[in-house]
Amino acid sequence: MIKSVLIFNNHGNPRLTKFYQPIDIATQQALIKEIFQLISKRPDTVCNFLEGSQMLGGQDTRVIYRHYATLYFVFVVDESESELGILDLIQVFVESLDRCFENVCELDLIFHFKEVHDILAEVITGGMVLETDIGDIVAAVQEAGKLAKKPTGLLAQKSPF
Amino acid sequence: MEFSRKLLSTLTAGQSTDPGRTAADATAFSDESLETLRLNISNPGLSTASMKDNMLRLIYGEMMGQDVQFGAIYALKLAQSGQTVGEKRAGYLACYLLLQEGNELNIMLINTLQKDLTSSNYHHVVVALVTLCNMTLPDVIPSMVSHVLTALTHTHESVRKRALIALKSFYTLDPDLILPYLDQIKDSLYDPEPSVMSAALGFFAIAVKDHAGVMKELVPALIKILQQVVDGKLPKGYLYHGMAAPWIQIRCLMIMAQLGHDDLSASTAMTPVVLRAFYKASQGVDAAFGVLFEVLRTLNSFHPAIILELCQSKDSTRNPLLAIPRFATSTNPNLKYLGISMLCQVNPDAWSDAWWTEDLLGAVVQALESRDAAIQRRALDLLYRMLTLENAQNIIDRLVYAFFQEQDGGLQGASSQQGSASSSRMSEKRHQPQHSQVSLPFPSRKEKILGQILDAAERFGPSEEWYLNLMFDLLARGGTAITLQTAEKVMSVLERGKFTHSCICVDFFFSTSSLCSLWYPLT
Repeated sequence: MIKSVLIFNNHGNPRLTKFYQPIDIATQQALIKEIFQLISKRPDTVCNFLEGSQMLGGQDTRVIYRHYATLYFVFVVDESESELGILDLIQVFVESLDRCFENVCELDLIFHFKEVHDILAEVITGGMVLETDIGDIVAAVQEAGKLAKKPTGLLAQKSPF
Repeated sequence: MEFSRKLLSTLTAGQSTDPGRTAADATAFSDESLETLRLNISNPGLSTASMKDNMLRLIYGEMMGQDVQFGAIYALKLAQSGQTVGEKRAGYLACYLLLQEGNELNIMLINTLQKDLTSSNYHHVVVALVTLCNMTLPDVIPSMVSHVLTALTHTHESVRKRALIALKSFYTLDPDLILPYLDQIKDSLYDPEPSVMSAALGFFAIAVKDHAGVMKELVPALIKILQQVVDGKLPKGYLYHGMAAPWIQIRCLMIMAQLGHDDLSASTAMTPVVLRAFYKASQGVDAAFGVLFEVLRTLNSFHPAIILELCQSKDSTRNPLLAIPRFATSTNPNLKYLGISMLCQVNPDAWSDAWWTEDLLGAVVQALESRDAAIQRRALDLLYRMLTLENAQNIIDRLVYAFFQEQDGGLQGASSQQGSASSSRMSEKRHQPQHSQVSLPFPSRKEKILGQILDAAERFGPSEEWYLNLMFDLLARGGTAITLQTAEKVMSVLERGKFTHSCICVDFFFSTSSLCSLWYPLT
């Protein structure tokens, strides 16, 4: 199971955090710091896997990450997940972001905060991979985007006359 | 690769054109704006659209570590009365972050969720289900189960797949809540939509862990699903870099691994299709490696007879073990890490001299010296598995060396560079007032190695004197990793061995300063 998805930049500022199990806010912040400290020390030439976050599951957890320019995409998973599967999943997530925002950059994550949450919810829900077909992911997000502009409550049903 | 480069250039471009904005934004969320936000959202005349914007700022503040509890009631109101799906989503998202067990607002949340789950607009059902997928409130969930089960037969696939994941979340929280409905959930494995089938597999991947016994009848269905996926029967969208739906294959294999564990007939039935997946994957590149790794893990979890038979074969399409050296000797650090991990997975009974070539042994030695701490740790775990009477002394020495190299507590996997210990301690101290209640609930790497050393020394130690010397060294220099439990464990080993020099032993324990401080609270 996926325990958490974190995106932070090269300075450790969080850009998206999602926890799939209840964690109080102080632990969340400590966890982000812990993982940032672990990962930011690692050069790009070493492997993308780490063992054990002491905040979240101990030795049985794996921290799997990818580094794109200014951003780290980090997945914290339990021992039952496949490391390479998750690494590819990060790629699917980032490719989906890239398609939705047309050349995604760090600022998109800040100023389209909600859309990023929506895209993530299409790929992963409740700590489980939900969809891996990038075409379907993008289509679902775009459909939800269209709906967001159109009222669906009582007002929409009222006759214009 | 091309994609990454493109992204790389755009990400850097985005920063260089507007350098100040990112930094400004990070600091924008100060206490002052939190106060403004509090005033804004308590304005009764606020439209739901601007409430949504405020709610998003609230969620952002939560991510930055602000206390935004005051927003809970407004989040709930927005979820209830949102005019668009987007507004509802924002409301529910904030509800998920802000409502805890026992909150008096939870009863209102139940009402809102029930209304949306029974809505004729499927988008509303989806929004409510997404909320439930992440939900861990034990006072909300029981009243939702029947609604979610109804959603399993919804006409829209995006409702069905989310219903399955919601059921998985409920199951992890309280298995007894869901176990009576297994038959109903099983039907979803035959859903014509691959994404729904995949979600059903996700449910069973979790449920099978504790209930493999009652799920044996899944075996034929799984064989059929994996066969279809491997033969490329799924839509094109599920191809990932030329590999047919790797995630679905991996999930199937995970469930199979559990079902075939210690069950010869189930293992035998599933082996052909697993080997078929292996054969297909061994022809692929990149994305196929994940499936290859999972095949190996699955075969090793099956009844031992299976892997012992397969490892006899010299044919690399029949003997999956022969795929491992390719990983372990790879120059790609990810593949190397996985190669060493695979070696840890293989049942030592299946090891043979023909397979443990010079190259492979060389790769392990190289991994032990690797500058990448993650790979080095994997290699150490492997070393521990390689223990025999002949090599025990060398291996224990290496483990002890690793034990003393490891820093106390925290900071797993940080490359062991000079000065990192002191700097981390400093930063911890700095954050202490803020997070003083945060404890480290899980054992550190150092404690794990200690456990391995104690076990190895007990089983393979050449003499009592040697054991005593080793323990003396560990207890004296072990730092915070040594606890009272460690000392007790050592004592019990000594007692069981009818230790002849027991007076020396007591003497040496009490002369050890670290232990004296441990026993101090007892007296």
